[in-house]
Amino acid sequence: MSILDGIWKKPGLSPTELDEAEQAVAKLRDRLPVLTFRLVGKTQSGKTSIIHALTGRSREEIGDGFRPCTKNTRVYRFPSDEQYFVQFVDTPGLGDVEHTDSPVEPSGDRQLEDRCDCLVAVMKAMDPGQDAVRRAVAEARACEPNRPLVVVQTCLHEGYPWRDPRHILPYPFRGESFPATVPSDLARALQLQRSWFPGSHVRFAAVDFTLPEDGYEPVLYGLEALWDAIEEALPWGLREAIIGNPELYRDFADVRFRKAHPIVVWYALAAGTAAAVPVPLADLPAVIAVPLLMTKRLAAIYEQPWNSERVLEIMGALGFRFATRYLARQLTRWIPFVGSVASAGFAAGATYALGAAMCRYYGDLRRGAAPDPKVLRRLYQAELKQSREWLRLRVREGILRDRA
Amino acid sequence: MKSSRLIWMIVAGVYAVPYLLLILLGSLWLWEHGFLWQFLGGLAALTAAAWATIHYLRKSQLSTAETWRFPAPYGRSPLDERAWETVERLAGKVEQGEIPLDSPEAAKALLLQLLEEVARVYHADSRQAMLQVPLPDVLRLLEQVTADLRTLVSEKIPGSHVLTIGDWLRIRDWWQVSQWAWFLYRLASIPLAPGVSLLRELRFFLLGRATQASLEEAARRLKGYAVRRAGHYAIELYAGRIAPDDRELGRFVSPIGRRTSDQAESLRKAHEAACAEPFRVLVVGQKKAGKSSLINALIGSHQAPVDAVPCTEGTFAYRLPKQGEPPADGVAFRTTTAGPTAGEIAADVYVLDTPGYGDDAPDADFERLLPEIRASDVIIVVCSARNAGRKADREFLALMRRQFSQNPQEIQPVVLVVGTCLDQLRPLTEWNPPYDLENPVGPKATAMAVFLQTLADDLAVPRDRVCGVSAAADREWNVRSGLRSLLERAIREADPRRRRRHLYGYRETSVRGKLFRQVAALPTDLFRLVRNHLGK
Repeated sequence: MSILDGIWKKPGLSPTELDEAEQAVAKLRDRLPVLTFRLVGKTQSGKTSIIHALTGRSREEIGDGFRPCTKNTRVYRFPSDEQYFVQFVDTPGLGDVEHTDSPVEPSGDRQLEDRCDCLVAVMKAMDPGQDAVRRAVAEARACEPNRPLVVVQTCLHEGYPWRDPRHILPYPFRGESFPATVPSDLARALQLQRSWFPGSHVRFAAVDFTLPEDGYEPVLYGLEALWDAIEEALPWGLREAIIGNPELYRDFADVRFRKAHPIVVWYALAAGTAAAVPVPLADLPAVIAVPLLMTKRLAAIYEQPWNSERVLEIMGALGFRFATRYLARQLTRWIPFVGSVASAGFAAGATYALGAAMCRYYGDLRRGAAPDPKVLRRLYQAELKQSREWLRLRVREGILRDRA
Repeated sequence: MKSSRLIWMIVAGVYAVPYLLLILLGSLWLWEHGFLWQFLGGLAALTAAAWATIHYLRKSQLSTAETWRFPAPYGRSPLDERAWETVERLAGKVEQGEIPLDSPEAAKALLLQLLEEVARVYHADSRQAMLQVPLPDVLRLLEQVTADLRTLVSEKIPGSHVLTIGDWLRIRDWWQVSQWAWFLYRLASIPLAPGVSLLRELRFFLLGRATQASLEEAARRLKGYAVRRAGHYAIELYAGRIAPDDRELGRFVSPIGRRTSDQAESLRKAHEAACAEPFRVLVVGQKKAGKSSLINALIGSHQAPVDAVPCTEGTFAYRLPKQGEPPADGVAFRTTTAGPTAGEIAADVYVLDTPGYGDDAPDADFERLLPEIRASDVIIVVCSARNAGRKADREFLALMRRQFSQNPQEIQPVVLVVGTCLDQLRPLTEWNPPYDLENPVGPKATAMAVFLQTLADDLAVPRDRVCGVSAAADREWNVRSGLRSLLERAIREADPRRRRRHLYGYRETSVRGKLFRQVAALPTDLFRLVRNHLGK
């Protein structure tokens, strides 16, 4: 109750109170709804490139195209290993030579082995030797045939009959049949691979993620189609979670914002999860700690000084009123399940909106402009409306999974 | 006959008269002009000089001991040399006059002595050494002596081939007659022309001395020759070298000689036969690794079908054009710069295209390909630079190694690894062949070198068995130069395997065929046996 006392007595948090809050947030980590993608593909088929393309991460870990980077099961957690709402599980390099000097260590995370929200089969478009991938996909789908599957066909340029670095534009690989602009060999190779995966739960995407020095334009050819396929296969709103609503952030979406946005999403999900715990008052430290710690992280990203008093002041100004909301939530919580979900969605949406507004605030400070309270409030309100729905669904999913 | 001879003689006499007259008239002229004494003096001086010269020559020739050597087609052993020394000793004695050789009896005695001494050299242990000689050899020796004599007479004596023995006897008679006539003439001319005659007699005396000396010398040498010749024959006889009939000898080959030549002949035939068996180069690899494209580039014509989806269903053979032979598309091979090119590969080389094996577990595909693998001399594992999955290739090679280690009587095929699609390595925009992969310069060549080294490590093959190429039709590089010379080296290395394959294959089929023929012939043989038995 110390945090609550502190808020009533004096605005701001003491260092011990901060530690307490960090611990409370850390406890939430394992209960957050996390999306798991399982990538299946031969070594060097472009799995890592897909992760980099989807998350917008740097390409530093992509090798020169030969030495497989992934030796054992590897997990890419996004946005960071500590705070993540999406993870890509990379299976051991299929078809790769087992090197005796790197023994495969037994995976300690059994849960990770089993979890899979979406299967992503990655194969080079011009490589018909995909027995291992087909076998792995069949095994993964044997127990759950309706599990979403996205087949990503990579390295399209290997099927171009021309030698100059030039992609087919506009992108022609949507739909069942391809237009005449697609070279027939490439089209047949793609159709052959697609014929291996019949069923309505399969989405296909043809992509070519090259290096800038390769000369192909765009570098991430087919990323839109891949996102569409993923969103279709798994209507989670992952894209928005990763890159945000482009319409709202057009004027201040920069490098820092791209980095900050997924973190805001994580804190929003954490706040929702904390609020969903059906024990009254137990979540209070977390409910208050999560937004505060979020603003602390955002300040670090924007390289701005962080002051809990100031933040609470802003929160108050934005209408983020703890007391009233807290009481309202406690009432709804007594109605089992629905109530908790409703309060969770509310907490998540509010936290997300606050995060968005704080990004704007810190962004303005960094640019040397005075933050306009009106703009912040408008943004906060807009996000509160927009984001609540999908965040509510995500939180609800997490709760459902927890109960299952 | 007689009258014609007489006429001939009269003609010859008439013909000779002017010359005889010339001598007389010339002498008369010399006497009338008072030059006769000067002429006679000059004549005497010249004759004396000639005599002195002949004398000197005879002395010097005697001092240089002449060694007679007869042709020895079979060479001379130390024993032969010892026997020859005996002959030389006897010949020397004859030449020095220590042993007389002026009557048939003396000749006979000498011959016996010669035979005895030579025989003793060869048959020292025998009491009757001289008789240790088979009769056919003696007869054959007589044949040889006669043959030699015939050669000597027909070649060395002028007119021997036209003059008959009768002619010779007549010549001898005439010679005696002319000697008488000459003596009478000399006798008669003394009272008629005493000065001239005396001078003439003096000249003849001097000339006679000189001639007699040379005649003696000739006789001496002739005797020496005869003894040596006889000794030579004796040596050949007792050494057992009197050859039998030449025709017989020409047909004869010693058993060991026959064995040797038979052996060499069979080896040559085996070599020729082995050339009939072609080399088989099996090209394996994962699907779409570029096996067919590589073969097309190797044989230099677009024969193996290539498609975007796997299209090679069975195993297909393509003949590799020989070095210097233009490929089907007419583009000549680039000259190879590396690798030994000594020795043309005589047998045909066939490159076999196979369906690609799966990337997951190549066991089933390996079993399917095993008969082809066991019947191949060189295996080319094709790995595409586009596909980094090497597990299947490594397992395929491991299966192959296990297969051959279980069959130690088989020689392993030579394994080459070819990395294709090198042009697809990064940087993609660069393509300026040729690239030096030994000392890579620039990012592309470095990427290639790294790739090939990784390939060698992943597949556990030596780096010098790994070759990188680009087989794309418009970017063909290092196929007909680097890979070709590597392949030729591998083919030479795989030659023993091809021979074994050929031989064992023959054995297997021929044994089976013989067995079949024997079994098939069995009823007929039985029938014949039964029939004969009943017939009796």
